[in-house]
Parts: sequence; structure tokens; C-alpha cells
Amino acid sequence: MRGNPYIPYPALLKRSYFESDDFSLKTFEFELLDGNRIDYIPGQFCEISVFGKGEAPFGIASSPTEGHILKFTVNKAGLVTTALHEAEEGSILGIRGPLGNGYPVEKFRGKNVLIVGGGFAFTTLRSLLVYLLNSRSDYEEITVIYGARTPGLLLYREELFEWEKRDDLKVILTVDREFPGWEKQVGFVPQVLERTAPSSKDCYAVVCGPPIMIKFTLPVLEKLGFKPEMVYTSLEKRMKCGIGKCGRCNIGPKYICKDGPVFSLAQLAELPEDY
Amino acid sequence: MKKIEKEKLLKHLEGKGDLVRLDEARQDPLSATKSSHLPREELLLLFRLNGDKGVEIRVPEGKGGKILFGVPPCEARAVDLLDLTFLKDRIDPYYERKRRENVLFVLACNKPRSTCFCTSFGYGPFSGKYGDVFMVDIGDNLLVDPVTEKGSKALEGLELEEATPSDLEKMESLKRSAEGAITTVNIEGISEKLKKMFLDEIWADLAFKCVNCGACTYVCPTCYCFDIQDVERTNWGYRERVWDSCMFPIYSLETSGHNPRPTGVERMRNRIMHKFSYYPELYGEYGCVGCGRCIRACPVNFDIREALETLKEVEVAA
Amino acid sequence: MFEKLRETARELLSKGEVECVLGFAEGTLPMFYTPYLARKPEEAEKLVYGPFAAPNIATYLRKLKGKKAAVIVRGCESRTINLLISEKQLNRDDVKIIGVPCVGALDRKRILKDYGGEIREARIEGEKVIVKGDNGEKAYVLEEYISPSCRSCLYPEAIDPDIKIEGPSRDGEKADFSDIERIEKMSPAEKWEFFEKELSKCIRCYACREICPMCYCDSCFVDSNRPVWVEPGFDYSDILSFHLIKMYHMAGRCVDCGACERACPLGIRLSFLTRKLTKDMKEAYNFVSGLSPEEKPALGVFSPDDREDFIL
Ligand SMILES: Cc1cc2nc3c(=O)[nH]c(=O)nc-3n(C[C@H](O)[C@H](O)[C@H](O)COP(=O)(O)OP(=O)(O)OC[C@H]3O[C@@H](n4cnc5c(N)ncnc54)[C@H](O)[C@@H]3O)c2cc1C
Ligand code: SF4
Ligand code: SF4
Ligand code: SF4
Ligand code: SF4
Ligand code: SF4
Ligand code: FES
Repeated sequence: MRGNPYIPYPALLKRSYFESDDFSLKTFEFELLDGNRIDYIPGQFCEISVFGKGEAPFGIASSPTEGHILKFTVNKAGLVTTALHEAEEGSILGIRGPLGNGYPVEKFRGKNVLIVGGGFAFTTLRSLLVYLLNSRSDYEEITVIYGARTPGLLLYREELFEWEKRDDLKVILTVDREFPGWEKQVGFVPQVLERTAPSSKDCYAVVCGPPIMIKFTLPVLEKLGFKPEMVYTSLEKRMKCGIGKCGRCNIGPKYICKDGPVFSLAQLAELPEDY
Repeated sequence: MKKIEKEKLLKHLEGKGDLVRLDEARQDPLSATKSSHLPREELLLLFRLNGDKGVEIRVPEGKGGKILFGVPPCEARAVDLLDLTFLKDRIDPYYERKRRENVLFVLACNKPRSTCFCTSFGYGPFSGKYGDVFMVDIGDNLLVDPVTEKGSKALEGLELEEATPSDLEKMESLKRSAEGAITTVNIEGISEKLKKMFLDEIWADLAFKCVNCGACTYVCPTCYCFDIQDVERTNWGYRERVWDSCMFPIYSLETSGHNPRPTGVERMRNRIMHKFSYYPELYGEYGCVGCGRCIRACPVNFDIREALETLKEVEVAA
Repeated sequence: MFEKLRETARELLSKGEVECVLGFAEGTLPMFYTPYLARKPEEAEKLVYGPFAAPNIATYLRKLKGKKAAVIVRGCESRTINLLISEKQLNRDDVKIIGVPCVGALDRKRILKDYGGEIREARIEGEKVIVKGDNGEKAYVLEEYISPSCRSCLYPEAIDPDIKIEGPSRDGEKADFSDIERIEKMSPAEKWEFFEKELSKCIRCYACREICPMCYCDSCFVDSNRPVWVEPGFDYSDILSFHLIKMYHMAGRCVDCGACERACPLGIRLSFLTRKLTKDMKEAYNFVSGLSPEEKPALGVFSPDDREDFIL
């Protein structure tokens, strides 16, 4: 990151395309201009600037192992995200980052990893999965459980279907309700997790999704014997500076932007419920 | 300590930077000391979109330092607290420049106000360790004592007299009477206690009369929260930061509509916790200096001293 | 002097007729009563009323939704309640209205300024405010230090209270708008200068908005970023937009209690705006806001008799 942490790198929007069939989610691929590069790990995020509209934080969906293209998937919600959705390929935007701590990938070496995702929160989980698969032999079993409301809302579908075919990886996809043509799992993520019952032995779990999914997933993990120090999740709160200065993203004395967004359940147990 | 006539010192400071007089304007609602380091509005960058040539970004240049003359000890201490946020981890360059360039002439408080409770925090109206130069107004003269290198430099070239024993006596007597006029709030153990009080019901009672405006936090010399926003213009647009406050609902409102601090109760809790629990936990210092500005600015007479007393009374399970 | 009020409140609480009594209590600063909620009969002992009460107590009714409450009100506060009922923010049956006499609210900041040093104690004695502090004891004639809004108050006494506490009140017949007339006579340039001098001090802390019982919107136009009505920062044009749009929203809804002006930490004279609004509403539509809970908002209805000379 730069000497002045508030100054974004100019970034060229190389490609953008709809990720979901309801046009609410779009994936953006950026290349930093002027030869700038950033070093990041899965789970970190960036502030994307649409000059004149503002900045908003987004988890990095690409993996550092994929080269220098930065990828984000964005839900159209308010001012910045709408402007981003409207940005044309070839426009110049700004990127500030990487911000936050990221997943503790070093700890995962030699262990089993369970990835549980829901809805469009799969972005940094994609980054993590691609990262792990890049040096597959460094890790033991990898299991992915990912669900969305409908098949069309699953992110990165093509890739998911490819990953499903691999035998060094277990990918379980689910949608909330029966859907014409859908032959995989049906049910909410916590239920599917309970049914699948992956072993918690030597296993790290990473859980990202809407708050309601997280709320029901955590007890299942606990039942399966996952230790709070070995379960990680990524938190979200309104953000501005992304570097622990503007104050707003605190949970107790911790700042999500600086000390997070990734926290283990053991860490969260020490913090007040302020998110 | 040395002494000098006030007029001579002021003359010496002329032309050495923007002179901000706080020696007579201590009744101003806003803390000029805070505003001189963290202005209520500050440009972060300017940008211009140039079609396919991309974007031009400019970082505004600083305007040069200020000489803050007559800063009360509490506000100088508050700047030390701001340092903990802005000069740690990633240095905030906008703040750092002003901090480096500004010179703080601290003036001991001969006449504390009824709302002052600085002595609750282990220092007081005559504490000489804050800012760059410490001064005491003993009537005919100012006693001066450089605190930092920057302070010594600011005094260079001045003919300073040695303070006489009777001058020092005068100072001691002013000090005694000032300290005696302040009511101390005993806050011992409050930070440990607050840690266990996040879910306590007392917050609802405490927050009842608060209407959630920004007055207390805007006038507070230690509050630093800011918002960042873009302003679009046909030519050069800009991104700026402006003061913000954890007392506003929109401060924590997420686009989804979820607000982790939906009512004034959670917001008041955050304000008090930040100063009396989170700050001590992070830095070993309280985030309040006891200046009493918030008490005077509040439209409904929310008195933080009273709040602290109430919190102290609450019984919490161990 | 508060015995009658306290007795009434104590009775309402001990008989269980209400869960709480909303009013004021002594504050921690001189000349400052603070909003107070008495919930137990013995807490009624703390209740006070009078010129030291700065906020409009009706603001707190939104925090008491769903509770059976009694509220102690002056004229402007009772008119606020009528407005809140007409805007469906409040059920008349949920509140018991206790009317108290009103001689006006004190312009505290002016006494602070005129006294100069730190004031440490104050009390009211007859028609005077006696203050004690670093500059010794001084007496100020209350009427000379009454908030501007109160000076032009047309209805100082509570309208249709359930219970009325008797006492001396101001005279609504003597409402005085002369300082507003003085501004009306200024040239546009003078007006502009006058308002710029006042309003440019604004720090956008929104104390004036938050204290206002009629500013209850969940999302205020100043906070909207789609579209941006008011830019961030402190350009005078943005500050002016904030205050003017706020005033548009208040036409016919502002009771001119002066609470916003007394709330402003910078001492900005907001009553020049609210009182002009009050004066215009009265002159153009013969309308005074909040006289009855059935009343429709003045700018929400059209009558063929409405004045037209301002429509170009
Ligand atoms: C660490 C992190 C990672 C995220 N990753 C993604 C992602 O991969 N994809 C995605 O679609 N969304 C992501 N979000 C949420 C996304 O940041 C918000 O949806 C976005 O800020 C909304 O901005 P807006 O300008 O469109 O909305 P507006 O309502 O116009 O918001 C105004 C401003 O408020 C702030 N803000 C509002 N809501 C949030 C929020 N939930 N989180 C943080 N800041 C907020 C932003 O600064 C925003 O610009 C992430 C949030 C965080 C904190
Ligand atoms: S909280 Fe109040 S007393 Fe404490 S430093 Fe801030 S303004 Fe001063
Ligand atoms: S008290 Fe609130 S406004 Fe002040 S610094 Fe802390 S979080 Fe920010
Ligand atoms: S709190 Fe009052 S007495 Fe203490 S340093 Fe500040 S101004 Fe001086
Ligand atoms: S100034 Fe008073 S009313 Fe406003 S937020 Fe602070 S405590 Fe609440
Ligand atoms: S209370 Fe005063 S300073 Fe605050 S927003 Fe209103 S007019 Fe501006
Ligand atoms: S986003 Fe500013 S402190 Fe976290």
C-alpha cells in the first residue's frame, strides 16, 4: 500500500459481466495502471473508487496465485455499487488496498479445510479455494459447501461445476428450494452441513454468508466438534477509511477494517455483540 | 522556569506561522486545538476524469503550521490521544503534517470552569508536560518552560529572565486555587467494570434524555470520527473527510438497512465505552480528558460526570 | 412552588393511571432543567417546570411509544402534541396532558454572555434571575432574557389539558414580532448578509434537528446520497440549503417553541427563520399550528380563499 493510504491506484476496468441471472451481481476484473501491483492474501479487501460517487469496500474474489488481475463481485445496492454496475469496460476507477487481515492460510497447511458459503458472500471464499488448490498438496481434505436461493444466484457457476468434477476436492452445492432442472442438493446451508457432517478432526472451517445463515451454521459446527479457535468468519460493518481511523467499524475495541474482517469464533467470543 | 512579558512573546511569534489565540477565547464552543489538527472539513484528494486518458489525482498541499497560543492543558493532552489513532499503524499523512508543523503553547488554567474535571485523569490545570511550551500567567509576566525541542526552538532568540522564587510562589498559589476549584470524579476501575456492562440495562436509562445529535462529539477534543465523501464537479472533483459522530444513526447504517446500533441506547453506549473502556484497553489511557466541553454543548444537559457516577453505582455480576 | 405538579404526578403514578410522567428536573448546570422521566411515585419529587427548561418535551414522546404516559407541557408543547396526533405519530388516548403555566423559556446563552465569567449558581426570584459566580452576584430581568420565540408566542398556555396547574403565564395577546418586521424591511443584500453572518457558524451537528419534535423522519434529506440534496462539508450554500429545506418541511408544522435555537451549541439565532414562518403562516392563512388535533397541515390543504399574491 502507498505512503498515503487514502490515495487509490488508478485501475482499468478490463472486463465486467453479470454473475447472477437476476442482474443484481456483476463481476469486475481490474488491472492496476502504471505498473502498480498489490500483494494480498485471500480474505483481504479493497476500497473501490468510482470518482465522484465515492468508495466502498469489497472482498477480493481473485486469488494472488492467478496473476495480477483483481476480481470483485458486487451486489448492486446503493450509490457506489450502482455507479460501479454502470461503469463501462475500459473506464478508469480507483483501488485502494489490500486492506484487512485475510484468512490465516499459513495455519491451514497440513490440515483439513471446510469452506461454507452462502449467497454472494462466496467472493473471498473463491479466492481462498483457488489459493488452496494452487498448491493442493499442502493441505489435506478440502470440502466446500455452498448454497444460494436459486441456481442462478450461485456465483462462479462454471468454475463450481468444474471443481465438482475433481476427485481431490468435495464440492456440495445446494439451493434453498426445489428448482426445475436442479439435481443437486436442496435445503439451507446449515441443514446440508448437518447432513454432510464433515469431520472436525484437524479441520479448519471458514464460514461466510448472510448473518442469518451464519447464525444457524455456527451451532451445527459446534455440534460437529469444531473448536472455536478453528472456525473463521468474515465480518461486515459500514466502512469508510478501511485503515482504522474513521472510527465506525468497531466491535468493542477492535476495528473490522484493520483487525479483521476475518475473526475466529474464539476471538469473537471475547468481543461484544456490536455488529 | 523562565519569565517574559506576554506582549514580547507574542511579538516574537509574529510571522512565524498562523497565530491562533486561545488565551482569551477559552469559552468558544469548539476546540480550536482539535480543529487545527483535524479540521471539520479536509480535502484528501482532487480528481479529474480525462476521458480515455484516465484519471488525474492530486493531493492538496499543506498550508503551513499554526501557532496555537494559550491551549488549555486538557486540549493539549487530547492531541496526544489523537496521536494514538493517527500516528499508529498506518500514519495518517494529513494529520501527521499538521502535528509536525503546529506549535502548541499551553497555558495553565488559573480559572477552571464549573464543568472542568481534568483532575479525574491524573493531571490538572497546571500540568506542564503537554504541548510544546508550558506557560503560566502570573499577572505581570508569563512563566514559560519549553516541553519539547520544537518548543525550545520556538523560544529561540528571546531574552528570557529567570523566574524569581516569588514568581514561583505565585504560580504555586494559583495552582492550588485552580486545583481546589475542580470537582474530581473518581473513575477508578471504571474501564474494567464497563467491560462487563455491555449488555447492562442501565444504558437505556442513561440514553433516555439524549437526542443523538453531534454536539458533544463535535466539540470533544478527543473525538475524531470522520466520514469520507466525494463531490462531483465538471472539472476537478474532490474527496474530502468531514467530522462524523457515533451518535448519528447513519454513522453505522449499512446499505442493506441493517444497523448494528439501531437506537440511541447503543450509540450512547458506544460513545461512553469508546472513551472509558476501549481506549484504556487499547492504549492504557482514557479517551476523555475531562474538559467538560460536551457538558456545555449538550442541548439536554447530558452530563458525562453524572453518567460516570451512575455507571459506578450499577452492580454487575463478577 | 412545584408542589401542585408533584402531587398530581405522584397521584397518577401511585394510582397506576400512568406508567411514567415526562417532564423536567433540575440539571447539573445553572439555569438548565433537564428532561426527566418519573417512573415511581417518589420520583415525582424531582419534577420542575419554568423558564430554565430549554428543550420541547414532546420530542421525547417518540421514545415512549406504547407506554401510558403523562406529559407536562407548556403552550407550545401542547400544540406539538396536537400536531403529532394529526400526523398519526401519537394516540391521544396514550397521553395524559398536564398543562403548566409558562412565562417563556430563558435565553440562557445570552445571560452567560452578558455575565462574562463562569456562573456557578442561579435561581429565579419573582421576575428576576439571580446568578452567582466568578463575577459575583448579578440580577437579570427575566422578561428581557426570554427566548425570542417566546416573545412572539400566541398561546403560552396548554391547549385542552387533562389536568391544569394554575399560575402566572405570558399574555399571548402581546406577542411581539417587531424584530422580524425589522428584518423584513431590510434590502435583499442586507438580508443575505444578516443570515450569512448567523448561519455560516453552523457546524452541522444537527442538534437543532434532533431536538425538534417535528423532525422525526427516519431518513432525513440531508443524509441522503441518492440524490445528494446537500453536499458534505461546510460551504455556505450547503449550510443554507440545509436550513432552508428544513424550514420548508416545517411550514405549518413548526410550533415555534424555540427549542432548536436554544439547542444550538454555536448560539445561532434560528428563531429568525422559525418566527418568520410563524408570522407568515398567520398572515397568509390565519393559521397557527397545532391548535387542535383534528387540524390538517396548512400546506397540505388548499382553499380557494388562499392568498395568491406570492404566486408569480
Ligand atoms: C470487508 C467487506 C467486504 C465486502 N465485500 C463485498 C463484496 O465482495 N461484494 C459486495 O457486493 N459487497 C461487499 N461488501 C458490502 C459493500 O461494501 C456494501 O454493499 C457497499 O458499501 C454499499 O455501498 P453503496 O455506495 O452502494 O451504498 P450506499 O448505501 O449508497 O452507501 C454509502 C456508503 O456507506 C458505506 N457502506 C454502506 N453499507 C456498507 C456495508 N455493508 N459495508 C461497508 N460499508 C458500507 C460505504 O462507504 C458506502 O459507499 C463488503 C463489505 C465489507 C465491509
Ligand atoms: S467526552 Fe466531554 S469531557 Fe471528555 S474529553 Fe470529550 S468533551 Fe471533554
Ligand atoms: S466517542 Fe464516538 S465520535 Fe467520539 S471518537 Fe469515539 S466513536 Fe468517534
Ligand atoms: S479541564 Fe478545565 S482546568 Fe482542566 S485543563 Fe481543561 S480547561 Fe483547564
Ligand atoms: S450533545 Fe447531548 S443530546 Fe446531543 S448526542 Fe451528545 S449527549 Fe446526546
Ligand atoms: S444546532 Fe446549530 S450548529 Fe448544529 S446544525 Fe443546527 S444550526 Fe448548525
Ligand atoms: S472503516 Fe474507518 S475505522 Fe474501519
